[in-house]
Amino acid sequence: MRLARTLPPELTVYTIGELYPQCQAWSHADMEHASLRVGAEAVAEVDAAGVQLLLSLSSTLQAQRRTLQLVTPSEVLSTACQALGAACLVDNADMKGQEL
Amino acid sequence: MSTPQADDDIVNEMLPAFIEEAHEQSDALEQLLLQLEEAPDDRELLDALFRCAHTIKGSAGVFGLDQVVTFTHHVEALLHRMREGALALTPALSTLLLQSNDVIRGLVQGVRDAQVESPEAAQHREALVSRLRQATTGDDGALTEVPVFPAAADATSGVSPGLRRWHIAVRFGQDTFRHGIDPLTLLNYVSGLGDIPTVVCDTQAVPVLDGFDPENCHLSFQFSLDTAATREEIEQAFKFVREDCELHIIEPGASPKDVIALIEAMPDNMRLGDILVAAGAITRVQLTQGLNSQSEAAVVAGASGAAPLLGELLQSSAAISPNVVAAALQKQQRQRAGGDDNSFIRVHADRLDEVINLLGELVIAGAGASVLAHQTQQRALKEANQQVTRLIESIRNSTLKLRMVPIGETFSRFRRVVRDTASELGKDVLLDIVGGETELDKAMVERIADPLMHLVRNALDHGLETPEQRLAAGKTEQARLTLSACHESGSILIRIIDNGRGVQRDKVLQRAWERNLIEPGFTPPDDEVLNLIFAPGFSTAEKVTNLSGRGVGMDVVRSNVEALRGSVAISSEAGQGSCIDIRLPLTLAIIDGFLVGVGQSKFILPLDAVVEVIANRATATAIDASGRSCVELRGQMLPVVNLRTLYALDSPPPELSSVVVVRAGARRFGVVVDALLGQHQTVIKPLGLMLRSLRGVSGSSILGTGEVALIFDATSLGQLAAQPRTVSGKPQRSEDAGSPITHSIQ
Repeated sequence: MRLARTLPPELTVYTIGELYPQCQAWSHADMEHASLRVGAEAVAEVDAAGVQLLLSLSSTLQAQRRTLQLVTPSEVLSTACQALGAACLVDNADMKGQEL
Repeated sequence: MSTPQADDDIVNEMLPAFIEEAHEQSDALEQLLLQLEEAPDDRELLDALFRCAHTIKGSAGVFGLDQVVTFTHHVEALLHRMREGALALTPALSTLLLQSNDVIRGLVQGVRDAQVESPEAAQHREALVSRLRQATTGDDGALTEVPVFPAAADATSGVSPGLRRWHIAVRFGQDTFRHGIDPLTLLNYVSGLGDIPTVVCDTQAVPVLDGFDPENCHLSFQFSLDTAATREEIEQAFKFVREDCELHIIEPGASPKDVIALIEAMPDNMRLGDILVAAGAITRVQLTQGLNSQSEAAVVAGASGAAPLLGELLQSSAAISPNVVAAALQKQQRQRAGGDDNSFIRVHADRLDEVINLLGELVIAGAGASVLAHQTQQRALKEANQQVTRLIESIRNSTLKLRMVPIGETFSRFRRVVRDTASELGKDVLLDIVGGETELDKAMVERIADPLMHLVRNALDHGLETPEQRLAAGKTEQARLTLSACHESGSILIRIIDNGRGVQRDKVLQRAWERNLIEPGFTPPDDEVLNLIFAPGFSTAEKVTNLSGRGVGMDVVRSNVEALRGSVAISSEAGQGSCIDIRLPLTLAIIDGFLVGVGQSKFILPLDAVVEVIANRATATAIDASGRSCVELRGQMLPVVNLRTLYALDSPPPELSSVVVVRAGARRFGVVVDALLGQHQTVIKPLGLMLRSLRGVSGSSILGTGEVALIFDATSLGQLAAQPRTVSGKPQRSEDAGSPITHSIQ
């Protein structure tokens, strides 16, 4: 399965500079859909800055009355979100990973 | 860093406040339950009820009062099931909760008195726990769904043995990431100290993408930490980020006071919800829920309706301490320039009493200075003194207001008494409370409670009938008992009205004859018959019940009321019910008086009771041995009492005298005096032993000249004025008033 939007293997303060413009673009894509699906299976390394970027993306979508739906988030990402009290990011994750 | 000794000191210092608050919460819990019985669908009442129980439990947990916590936990669980809609309030459930509240009150009382619970009380408590569990359908885990205050309130619940639950709030600075610090790593490190059961990220603080610098840190967290580590060890975990974060560590057992202190230390310009979140009192999620509820309620209320306050909603949904909300509100109010400050402060009663006593001395000293200023005949000094006198009067009025409390709180206590007593007697009684907002002196409220209790029990026991008896008498099945209060002529009038069977005069007479209270066979006028029930040892009950017949008769009620310079009167209509009027002065400390002179003696009449004066009329000569006569006032006869004769004052009567017309209830009478000396601020002092038997006198006062003046009780003086010479074959007590008192006064 392949998603149009996927998170990189490294989601840390060292990579968020590159990911940020992508997130901005994603937030304006597929406006007709209630949720923005982003693949998260590949995330192998994550820190608080990476999670914060996802929270910002989520807030942006919420302002548009849309939601962020991570698809098959990796265990590393899920654990980080739980540890940071940001479980809301993975609570509605699509664990089956079906194509949009 | 606090030491164990410091912790103990804080606990000892705060324990009395907890006990007082717990009693208040317990009283509120009882009143709310009784109100909920009448309005079982009232969600707000139920929420408030739950808050009371939760506050007691949370505060008790802070002080390590495990028995209170454990027992209240069961009550809370039951209330939670009711909030879920799984249980409705039945009379049996209400009784169970009322009994449970009694136990809570008893446990708190035990803490105050440092008493160990008796085996019987412990057994009773265990039995109630069992019943509470059953009522909660045996699901002991029901309370796990109860929203809890994540910070201090429930510091002891759900924590593994050997561990203590800390609450930590940390807000990272913007440059945290740039300084190479990863909050995730830090939290993982902290979790190594123990267990983090809950962590909440303030996601709302993270901005949206537009204009967002992803390398700026906007993260803040509140989390609990169950650990055996010390505060130093926890702080050590944050050692490398101390420059980059705001850190608040609330230790286990922290009281709402600690949370309040935290709120005080926060920066200004924060909104209420943000303050509470930052203090760890609520989570951001709870705040969001509260704001949503507020918005929804505001929509339902419409444009004209009042939107619920966020603080109240959060108290209900997040079950946080009202004191914490109050502190946050105060902080918010202080931030508003020119904002109203209607907050309350709690003042120890002793301090207030001290101020009142000093005020009394100030009034007396002021009166003395006034006399001296008058004697100097210096205009400037007299005017300055008048200004001081006016200020003292203003201070007096404002200070006395501090002690005024509404009588409704006392009335409300009777709801439970009426409910339980009526149930015990198989009677259906509706208690109606009118004028609960009427204020009177706190000391008066405390001392009138017992007489009122007796009168209420008496009405329930003897006055009101059973439903069957009422139906047979053509009345409604439900009896009505009304407690009312209002201000009347400078006094407070408390009425206990029942629509029961009324006083049976023939039974009263029979008993009075049997007890030799009046001569057998003699029938006094109707109102005199009714007054016989206030005679010592009188009881009309066929048998002495355990309700009103406790050896405290109506005579004790009357003497208690009279000790407060009040009066009690009864009226009754056979088959229709009875009404007992209690008249009390508004205060026991200082009154406005009207000073009069008879010979060398000075007397004070309560100014509120003075209607008018007839000055300089010829002294009446046709007076009886007790000083009573009549004068004509605008075509009507007015009974008058001559003080010189009544009290056998040793001074010749003047050619002209004055009559002060006084009102006492519905009665008017005149008091013949030599001189009218005008208004006088009167500091009431108790009577000495020698003068206590005097009828018509209720107290004494020191004048500015140092002289002593006796203060009249208008009601009993009026009784002396209107009293017939003889009522029965027994001698009347008017001669008690005839003791020569000239030397005492001088």
